[in-house]
Amino acid sequence: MFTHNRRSWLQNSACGFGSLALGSMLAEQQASAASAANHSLTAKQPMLPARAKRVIFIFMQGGPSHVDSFDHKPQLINSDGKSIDFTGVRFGTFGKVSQRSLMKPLWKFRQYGACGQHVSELFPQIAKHVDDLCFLKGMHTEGVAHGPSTLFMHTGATNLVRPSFGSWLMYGLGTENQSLPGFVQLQPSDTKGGPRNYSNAFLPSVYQGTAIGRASRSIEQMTIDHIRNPQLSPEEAETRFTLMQRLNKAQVNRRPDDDSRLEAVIKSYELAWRMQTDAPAILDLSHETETTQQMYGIGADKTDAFGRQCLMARRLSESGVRFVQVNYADESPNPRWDQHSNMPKHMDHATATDKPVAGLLADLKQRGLLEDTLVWWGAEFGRTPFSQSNNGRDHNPRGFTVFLAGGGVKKGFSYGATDEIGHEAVEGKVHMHDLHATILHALGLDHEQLTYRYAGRDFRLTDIYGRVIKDVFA
Amino acid sequence: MLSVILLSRAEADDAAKLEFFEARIRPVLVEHCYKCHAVDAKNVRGGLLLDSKAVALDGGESGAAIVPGVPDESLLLLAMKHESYEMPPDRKLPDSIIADFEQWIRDGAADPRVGGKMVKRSAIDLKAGRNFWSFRSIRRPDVPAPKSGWAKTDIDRFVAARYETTGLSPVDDATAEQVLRRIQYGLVGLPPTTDQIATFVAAWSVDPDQAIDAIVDELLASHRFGERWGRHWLDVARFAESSGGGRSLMFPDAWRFRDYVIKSFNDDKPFDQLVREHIAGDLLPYKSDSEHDDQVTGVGYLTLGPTNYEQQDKELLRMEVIDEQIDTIGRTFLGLTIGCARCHDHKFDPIPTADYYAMAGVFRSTETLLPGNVSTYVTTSLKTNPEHKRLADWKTQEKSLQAKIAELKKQVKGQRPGVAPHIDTASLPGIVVDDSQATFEGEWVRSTSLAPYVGKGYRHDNYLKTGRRVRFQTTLPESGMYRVRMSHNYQTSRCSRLPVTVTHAEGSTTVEVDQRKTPLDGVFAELGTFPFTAGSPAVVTIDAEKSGKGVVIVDAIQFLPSTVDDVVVSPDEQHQQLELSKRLTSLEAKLNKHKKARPVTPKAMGVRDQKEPADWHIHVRGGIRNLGPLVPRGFVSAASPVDQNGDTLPFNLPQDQSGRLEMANWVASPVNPLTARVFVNRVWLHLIGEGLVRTPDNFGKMGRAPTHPELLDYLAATFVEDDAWSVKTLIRRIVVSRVFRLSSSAASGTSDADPDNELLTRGFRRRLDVESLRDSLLQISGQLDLNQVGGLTIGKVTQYDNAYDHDQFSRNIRSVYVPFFRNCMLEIFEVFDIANPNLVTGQRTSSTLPSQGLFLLNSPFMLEQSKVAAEHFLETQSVDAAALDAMIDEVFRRTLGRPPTVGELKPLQSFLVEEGVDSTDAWASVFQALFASVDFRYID
Repeated sequence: MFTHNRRSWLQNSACGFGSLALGSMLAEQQASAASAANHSLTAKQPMLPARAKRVIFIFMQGGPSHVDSFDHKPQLINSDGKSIDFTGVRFGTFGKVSQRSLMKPLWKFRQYGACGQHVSELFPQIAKHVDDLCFLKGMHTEGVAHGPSTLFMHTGATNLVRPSFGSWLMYGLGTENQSLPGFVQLQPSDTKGGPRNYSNAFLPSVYQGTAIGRASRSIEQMTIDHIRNPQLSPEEAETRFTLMQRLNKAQVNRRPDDDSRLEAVIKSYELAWRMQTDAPAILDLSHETETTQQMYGIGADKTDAFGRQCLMARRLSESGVRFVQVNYADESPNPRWDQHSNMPKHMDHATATDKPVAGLLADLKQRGLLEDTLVWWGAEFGRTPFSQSNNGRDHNPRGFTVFLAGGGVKKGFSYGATDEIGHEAVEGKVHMHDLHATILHALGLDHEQLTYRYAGRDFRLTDIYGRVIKDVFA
Repeated sequence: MLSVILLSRAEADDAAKLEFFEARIRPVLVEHCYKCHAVDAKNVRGGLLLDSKAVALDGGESGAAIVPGVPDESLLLLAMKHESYEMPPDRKLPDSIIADFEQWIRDGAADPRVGGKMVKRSAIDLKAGRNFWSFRSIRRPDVPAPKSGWAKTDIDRFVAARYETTGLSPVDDATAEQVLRRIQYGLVGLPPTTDQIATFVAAWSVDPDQAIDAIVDELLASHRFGERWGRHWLDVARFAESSGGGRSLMFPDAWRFRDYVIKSFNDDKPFDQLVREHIAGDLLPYKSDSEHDDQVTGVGYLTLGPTNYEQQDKELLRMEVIDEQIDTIGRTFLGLTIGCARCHDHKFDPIPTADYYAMAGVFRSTETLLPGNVSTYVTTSLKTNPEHKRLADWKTQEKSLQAKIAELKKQVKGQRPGVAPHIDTASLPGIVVDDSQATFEGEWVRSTSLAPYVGKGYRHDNYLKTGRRVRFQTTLPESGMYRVRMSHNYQTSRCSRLPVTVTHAEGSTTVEVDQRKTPLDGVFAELGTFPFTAGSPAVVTIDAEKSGKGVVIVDAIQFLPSTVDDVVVSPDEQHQQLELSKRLTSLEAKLNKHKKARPVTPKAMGVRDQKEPADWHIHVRGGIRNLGPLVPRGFVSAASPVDQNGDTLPFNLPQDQSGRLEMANWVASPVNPLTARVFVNRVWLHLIGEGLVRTPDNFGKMGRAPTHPELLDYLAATFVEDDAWSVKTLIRRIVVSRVFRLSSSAASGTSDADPDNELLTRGFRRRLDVESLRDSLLQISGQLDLNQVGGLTIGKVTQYDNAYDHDQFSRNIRSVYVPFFRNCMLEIFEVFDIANPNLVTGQRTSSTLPSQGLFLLNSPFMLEQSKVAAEHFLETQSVDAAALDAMIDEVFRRTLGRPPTVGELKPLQSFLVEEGVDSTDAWASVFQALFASVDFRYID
């Protein structure tokens, strides 16, 4: 009896989550009187022809060194130990010139693939995929400290409260699977901006990011909050649920008016119930073959945790999740890649992530998903070519490297360059705003048209900046 | 003749310059600049055109692009050199091209290009702006006299007049239970108790008006009132107890602001006074210490915003804090988006950029930040506070400890273990030979790492002993007996058997020194008393090679004539000295510990005036280092008094003060057209469900016009003129109106004619906000702790909020008191749409998401509250299967404030009969179902 009702409810709610957004929509119309757009999560047609349908962002929290990994600088190797003048960018040294000593990369480079891209010994597995990758070597960004730069990478603002990249994507494109969140963060960190990095800010709350797991929790706890009832047996839980929905129906039917918000509440319970059934299967990696798991480094000591995240990302993308962010992150004040001293530690982080990322690239490719999935690997900034505290490197927002793959970007391609020591981007400069504009473009969104009116002003992800780097598209 | 030649030479010169332009300059401009800086560009950037001579000279928003003859002042060149902007944006042009431009400008920037269009710059018409409805003066309207007898109060008469002109009619009043639930949640944010329901329903049946009067009196006088309305205000004050941003700093004193707000509403502080305290509390006169404290706590409003204190560019940080302050004041009090005027004149409202920087001048003359790597903020000491006594006690204890230590120090002779870092050779009696005067063989390491030591430092053998020897040699002035002593700082890593040989008048004696043991006086170990002859060498040698394991320390040797008796220490005295030393050390440890336990100095977050207040520049296009002309400090001109010609009167701010006090008085002025309108609209919104202006934080052109402009002005005028800004009186006016009582269940005809209910023919059904949701659950389960009425509730104050574990410190206090962090919220708050504390929130969003369903179905909190509510219910209720209906009735009253309907009763009866009427689990199911029901989650 009840099952039947549930089905008919579901059938009636053709657009799933979309109709749920109604409640918020009504309330939020006041905040955006002029923007009568329908705030739903239903998949929307992009504005422009789209190359990619979804994004996987592999966030390397802390800032890996580009000159030790992908940005090969022979001049830096030759100038090891040489002093250079450096103009300070931090508090206390702001604008002051000091002498800094150049430090050559700690790892040897060699060329890979038909494109001949240089990759160091840090990433031998990713190196095997260089003919599928598109490197941006003239990146630069805002902020110098982790917090501001991390917020900038996620929201396009170092301090002002702005919606996250993923929230803009939800707003522009909706999502394809209504029984999963469309904007997912795997094990995000609570530090360096924390939840603000995936917050909808002033966009309607249906566009907020959903954290699956937290950096502070173990990989086993990487699941949707409250997806299971921790106390009741499935039968008991169903009995309770049935009682609840009977009561709700009685209350809604009693009213003479037709309040769609109340219907939406009932439907949200139905969907929550369905998520309980469907989502755990998608989040369950044991459905994958041993070969696949091994490809991601699952089961091996050093790569197991990040391998699971990467495999989860593929499963979610495959299920229609629009934006998945894989976080190689922790909760410490000096995040993982943040080697101010002891650069050799980079090798630990490279080891933990190299195989899983390579596995993800290979897996996406073999499933044909790389065609319309844009992979973005990178961090909030890079590191300086000169040393700090003997054998460390400081933050470098003036020049660093990210790579893209899939989603219609050129393969085996490298765009832009830093100066001869890898300090500042000088050619083919791509600001973080430009990268945002370019990724939106790949998804068929014009960063200048994707606006939301809030408090009397049309806001956009790229503020008044941003250029689409068309050269990176095939 | 001569002049003709010169002229023709000049002509030739000009021709050469033009040729240079054509060959070297124009192609570069066309290729690299025109895309964004030509009339036909898709988007002209920065208002700058470079496609004709005139427009290039005129420049864009940042000023002239080219100053002929002066390369250093030509923005175009500076941008190409990456010295101001970085142009073109994708790469720096080759040095040779930059050199060409430099030469071209130095030579006068010859340019044959004519024509070109200027980019238009808007000018705001303030007189026209003042005509917009919200900028017009508030005039008390005449109260209409509608024909029907429906209206009870003046408010109703305004609403009823519109019914009559539109032909619509209001729905029936809501039921007594519905009205009570509305009043309860509206005024105190808690559900009615079953006793309150009984009393109210009985009174209502006699006289609804009197029933409402009585409950309103009761609730307005309750402390719970301030907790409810204080929370509404904290939403617009974007209150939080941490900074948010990258490293989210905890604000350990923010609770004082929260308590101040709650108290202000409970005391019915006139709203204009609250405004003055929020903007300039530190500058207001005060008659008592408690008034002072109240006011300086209130101005914490300016400091509480989301700020990324680790932003390294401190000038940018300063301007962003100022921007946040201006924008927040604009939205909180004026319903204006002043922040839009940071980069350009406001596109919709009459707010020129100059007004923005007039206000920025006020806030640049105000100190909020204390710069640092991670900056911090200004605080003000409080005068009255219970913590003062604790601090005074603490200080007394500190003094007594210090006195005891001073007394002991007098009794302790010589050096004590681990006290003095280094001892001056000259301060010691006798002859002292420092290691710097000794002869060392082999490699020794100099060190000053461990105290105490004599002279400039000491040396150690670094565990390497082979060939390492030391010789101390001196000649003594007089023959006689000398005590020979050796200084070494002690550690367990030291050598325990170090052979030291003293060569004296009678030969040589070797003694073993244990450097692991503390020397008696903490510095010198006794080697023995030996005879020496004046003029003969007195020698002490140390042989590391023959020592046992451990580091050998070599510091100094002292020869002390045995006649010097003030340092001669008898065994008894030695013992006594050791005891004294121990006591001293322990007292000092105690003092250290005491110092760390210093009670938190009572202080409030706040601001203060800068020492040298000054006007500030317009930042062209909002660029923080792009300074334009200075503007005198001031406020929003369009909302300020005018002279007979309709021009804004000058503000005449005192030059030796920031102008913040004047700003506060301007906002709180009865003639400010916005402040009272914006506030009464907020109150209306919270009581009725929607504002008369549906965009409560935006009274500008992009906001909505009022549905009942006369009613809005009537409320604003009576609030200011009749009620002296009394918030409680305003609330009472609205709650006793008939409009407040309208049923939210509309007959469908009415809702079709007026789908958005703009004519207020029916009530608004509202979602229960998250604080009311949580507090209700706790009250119904009998667990709500109403004794906590303020104070610091953060379980453990740490530097940042991100590690805060709400579960660990979970307490069943009212939600308004739960620690409220920007980057680490209590989960239920986040799931159910609490106000985002990074933004001014006049009206919360109300989303319906499956994550809420999952929380209500599965969260430990929900399961726990349902279970405890069931237990609490069964404890207070006799279980009787025959009286099942009565039990269900009681549960409904507790949760929904009404008896069950037949449709609700039936499924519950059969469920309970099947599961057992005495089963806690069964009742827990019933409670959970009710908590998740739409009638619980909505207020009818």
